[in-house]
Amino acid sequence: MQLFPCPFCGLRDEREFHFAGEVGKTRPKTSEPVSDADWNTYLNTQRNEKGAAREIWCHVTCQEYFVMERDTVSMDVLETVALRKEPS
Amino acid sequence: MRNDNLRWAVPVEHKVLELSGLTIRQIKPERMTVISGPFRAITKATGIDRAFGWPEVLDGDTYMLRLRRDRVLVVDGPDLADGWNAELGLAISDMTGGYAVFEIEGAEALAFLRRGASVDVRTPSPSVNRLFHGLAAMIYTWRDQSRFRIHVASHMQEAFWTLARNLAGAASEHATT
Amino acid sequence: MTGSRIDSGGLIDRAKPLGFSFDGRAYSGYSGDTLASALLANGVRVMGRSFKYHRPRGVWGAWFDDPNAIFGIRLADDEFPNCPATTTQLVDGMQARAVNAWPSAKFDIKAGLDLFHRWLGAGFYYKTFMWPGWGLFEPAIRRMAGLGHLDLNTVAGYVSDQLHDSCDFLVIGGGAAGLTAARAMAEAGQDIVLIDDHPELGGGLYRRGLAIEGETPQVWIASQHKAIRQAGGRIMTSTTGFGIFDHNLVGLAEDRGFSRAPRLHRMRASRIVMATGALDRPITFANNDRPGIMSVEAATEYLGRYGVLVGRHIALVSNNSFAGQAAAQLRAAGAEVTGCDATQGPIRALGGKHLSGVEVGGKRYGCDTILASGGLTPIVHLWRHAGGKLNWRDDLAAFVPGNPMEGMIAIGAANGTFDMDEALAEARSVVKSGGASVRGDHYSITPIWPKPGAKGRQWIDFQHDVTLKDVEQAARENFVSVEHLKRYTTLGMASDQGKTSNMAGLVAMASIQGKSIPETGTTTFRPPFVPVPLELYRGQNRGHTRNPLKRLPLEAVHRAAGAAMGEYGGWLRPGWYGEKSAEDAIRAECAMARKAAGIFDSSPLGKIEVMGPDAEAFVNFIYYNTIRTLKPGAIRYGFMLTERGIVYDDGVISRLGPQRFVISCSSSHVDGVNANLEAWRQDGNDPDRLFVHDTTANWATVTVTGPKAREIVAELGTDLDFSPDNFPHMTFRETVFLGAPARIARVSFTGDASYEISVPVASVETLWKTLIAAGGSLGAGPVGLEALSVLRAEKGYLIIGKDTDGETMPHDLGFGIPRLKKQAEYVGDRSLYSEVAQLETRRQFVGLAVPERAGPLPTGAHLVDTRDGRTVSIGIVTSSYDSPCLGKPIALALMECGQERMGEQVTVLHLGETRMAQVTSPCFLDPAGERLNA
Repeated sequence: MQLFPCPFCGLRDEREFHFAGEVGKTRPKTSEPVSDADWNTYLNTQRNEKGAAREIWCHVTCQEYFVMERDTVSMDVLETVALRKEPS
Repeated sequence: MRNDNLRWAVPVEHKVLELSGLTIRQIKPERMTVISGPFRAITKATGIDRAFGWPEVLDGDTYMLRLRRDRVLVVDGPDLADGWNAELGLAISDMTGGYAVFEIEGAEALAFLRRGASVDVRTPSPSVNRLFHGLAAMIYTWRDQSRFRIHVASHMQEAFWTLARNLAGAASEHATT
Repeated sequence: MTGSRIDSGGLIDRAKPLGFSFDGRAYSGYSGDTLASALLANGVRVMGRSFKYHRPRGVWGAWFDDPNAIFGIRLADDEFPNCPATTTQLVDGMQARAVNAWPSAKFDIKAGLDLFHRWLGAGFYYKTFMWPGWGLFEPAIRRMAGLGHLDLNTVAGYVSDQLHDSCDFLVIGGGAAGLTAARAMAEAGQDIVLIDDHPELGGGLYRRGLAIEGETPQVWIASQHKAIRQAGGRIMTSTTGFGIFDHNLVGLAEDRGFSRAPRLHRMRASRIVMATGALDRPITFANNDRPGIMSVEAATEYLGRYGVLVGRHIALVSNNSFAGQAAAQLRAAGAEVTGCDATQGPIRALGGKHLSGVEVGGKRYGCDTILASGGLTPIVHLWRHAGGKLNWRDDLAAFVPGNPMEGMIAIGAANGTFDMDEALAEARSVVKSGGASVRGDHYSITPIWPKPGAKGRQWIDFQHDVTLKDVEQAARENFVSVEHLKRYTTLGMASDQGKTSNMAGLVAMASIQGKSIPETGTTTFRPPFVPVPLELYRGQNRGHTRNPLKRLPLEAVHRAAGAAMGEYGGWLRPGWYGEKSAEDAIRAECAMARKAAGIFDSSPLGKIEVMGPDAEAFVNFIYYNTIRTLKPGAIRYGFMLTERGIVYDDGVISRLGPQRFVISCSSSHVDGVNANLEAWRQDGNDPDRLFVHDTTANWATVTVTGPKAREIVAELGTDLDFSPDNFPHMTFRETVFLGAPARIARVSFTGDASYEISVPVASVETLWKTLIAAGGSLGAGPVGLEALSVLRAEKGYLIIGKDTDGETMPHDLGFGIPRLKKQAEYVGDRSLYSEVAQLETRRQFVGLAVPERAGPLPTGAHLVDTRDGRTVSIGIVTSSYDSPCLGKPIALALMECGQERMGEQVTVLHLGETRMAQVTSPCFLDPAGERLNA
């Protein structure tokens, strides 16, 4: 069972986390025309990288969304990047 | 259309569970308030300047727990108006009826907690939010190293008691063998 | 001559005799015996029958490496299947039976199967028993294929205990190396846990039988034990490390006694020291499966730990330098030992159930016992679980752990360090450098491997009866990778998971293929290392704690009122009330609600607050409908879509203020909606200007619905004016009840005027009682979920997930305007214009009418059409009830082109029977909304 680093809470058991998607999926601006192909890419296309992969995860326990770079083969956690600002 | 009255037993009014090395009781704080927003503003609104995480030892009846980067739970704090406080930029919600609070005490208190959550006094965490056997819970140390409090959603109170009876039995027995 | 107990020695307690039976005969042993050691001490040799050929078998090993002696055990009233005799501690009163043998292991009725072995090789069931049909033979073969018998009575109190545990160093294995390393680290101030799977620490020291650091094994072990404890280290015996999982999580199974489920420790170790030792591997030779053929290690283990001499006339056949030590010990215990060099030529065991001798390279030696050692195999399973690589060492003829990993090292025999002094030095070095391998050359071995093509039947996997010929057959049929070899022959798939068969199998295949051993490689090692009961993983994931329901604050009140509670959307809620049958109760509640009023507990409805300067723009984006224009004090019904345009949830949203909204989503979707809102909040919004608070648990809600609802709520003593002009449908008011805030929303799920009153949980009991009292005099009373389902269906109000499915979009439900008109972006917007979303044949929400006397349509029935001579489904009946108020059955459905086919007849097909129904509007009651707005 893996240990993942939530940028706020620190290291927690993987059961507290939920995979939220791959980094880099920007929502097309739907107030302008979006082709079927572009919308389909947004909804369905995944890179499914072997090795280092940049992913968005949610620490469900505190509901913070963040970026985690993981090696999908060795299960090593390579990097964590907070998407939230530090509290003021 | 199925009558499940017998399948789900009537909730028992358990106020205290006492075992060797372990006591679990339910307590009812006067007030609990969830506040979201910048920390300085929260301090200003509540007059409390510190929010606790794990495994810091809290004391007193009035205290603040850190739930998230931008959220706290105030226990027995001041009576604040519910809703959006535009001046301070705070979202305030009364949650007095929203959580069931339990106190776990004794030599086996930590062993009991570790049967539901992977808490470790050597691994601090700024947030008190945890999963306790799958239930969303807040877990923190209160007053001394062998006393803890745990909050679960009030609709899971019965689930917690059922679980606690079984886990407490196991923890207490483990200590004596 | 078979086994016997010697007068002294061993760890058993001769002052505590225990009685047991095996295959119906009574025997006695001592406290500290395993079933296997006790049977050997009683001279019992034949302890089982092999899986396929039913050949008589005795024990090969003394611990988890034994593949042969598997017993069903009865103790008091409980029966436990498939217990390994070598790892089951003897308990007084045990009644053991060999599995796979009848009436006993000694005289088995199916022994004759062995005569047919030529037709029962690997994978025979793929090729034989084909004509006239496999089905003819299958039942008989399947009956013979299992191992053990399952008693259908459950064992009372068999519940695992599970806990999270952690330490800096976990030392796995309490032998010489493990004890030394643990002591050194504990005394250096490290937080260590030492585990060993035996009840007594010491590992191989008892069978080695020599002094260690000048002391007897028992004295030395006791010193280490004491020192470790004094230095603050934790020791757990009878505890097996059964698997290593990601990020150094180790699964430990702690034995709590025979009739009790083991305890699971989920041990997170910063560093792991693997001191798991090594096993004797078998030598592959003709008739190598006979009773009385054991490993050298086993014989010395039975002697050292249990005080049992396994035979009197022993032939010791080996190819390595360690076996010589054993001979001296066995002689000292009173056996005659002849050493045979296994490299001298082909070996064959002589005799059947009783060994008479062994032939090595043409020379015959008389014996009653053969001890074989083909070399030591380090136990590296946990190393492989953790992802470590293995290196092949020619000088040891074994796979050893490869380069050290971060967070894990191997020491001692597990690391290929077989010499005692070197192992102790290696163990001590763990403290300083995290481990440095010390290599010497005190162990010499001449590898002897299985010879494909050799004569005689030679066993590779004892438990699954896989022979060398089976490996040759696999190679002939091109199942040459070790993973294919394993699955095709079932080699290594039995309960010993290849501990005694993996090496022989892969080396035989390497030899056939002309490949080197490292090239051939091993199969994947997976947890658990030894069989563990499923209960170990279950713990409190059972019964009511597996998936607990949410409970209502008013549950006691409902039960007292005679409610039949049921599971609805994750909550335990009243289905109906009273002593009547469900049908009668529901009818009565419906009638009452339409005539006077119904009072029901709607506390599970979500109350999620969205607050902040960006709240308005946010909810306008989240909802399909336009929310921006909602005024404070007003309520709007809306849908939340997924990005694929599918309706995820419906509900109402109220505006409390310019920067404050309350979302009242359906009760089963609260957690999902909350998560969804938080995800969008942090994705593309400024979280400092927008907050989402789920306050559902803090508020309890009671709804009063019906023509007399207004009269009833007026009794609450609030200062509100409930007249319809001042308090119209789809608005709400904030007020006070019992000195605490209350919100009254005029929202309806029934089609009659309804008031949802939300108060803090502490006030709800008084609220309920006040409303019941007020309602009682007007003919109103409590209604449950079942009646509510009928009432809402009469009005055509849908239930998400029941009247919608994974493809339903808002325009299918008759809500098409936002799709056409809403300018602002919203979740799912683009998907509503995909090709699929624009198909003309989409399934649309409709009502179905049938003649009164016909009875309701079955829910789930298909609406069908005939096209090109085939019957095709064009829709589904989603809800169907007998409506007491309308006096006829009503139904709701999703149907292709439903809107276009209004008024037409449609065929309904269910379990082969057809009926006709008429397509109608889903709203059967008061389409003008007079009752709703009253």
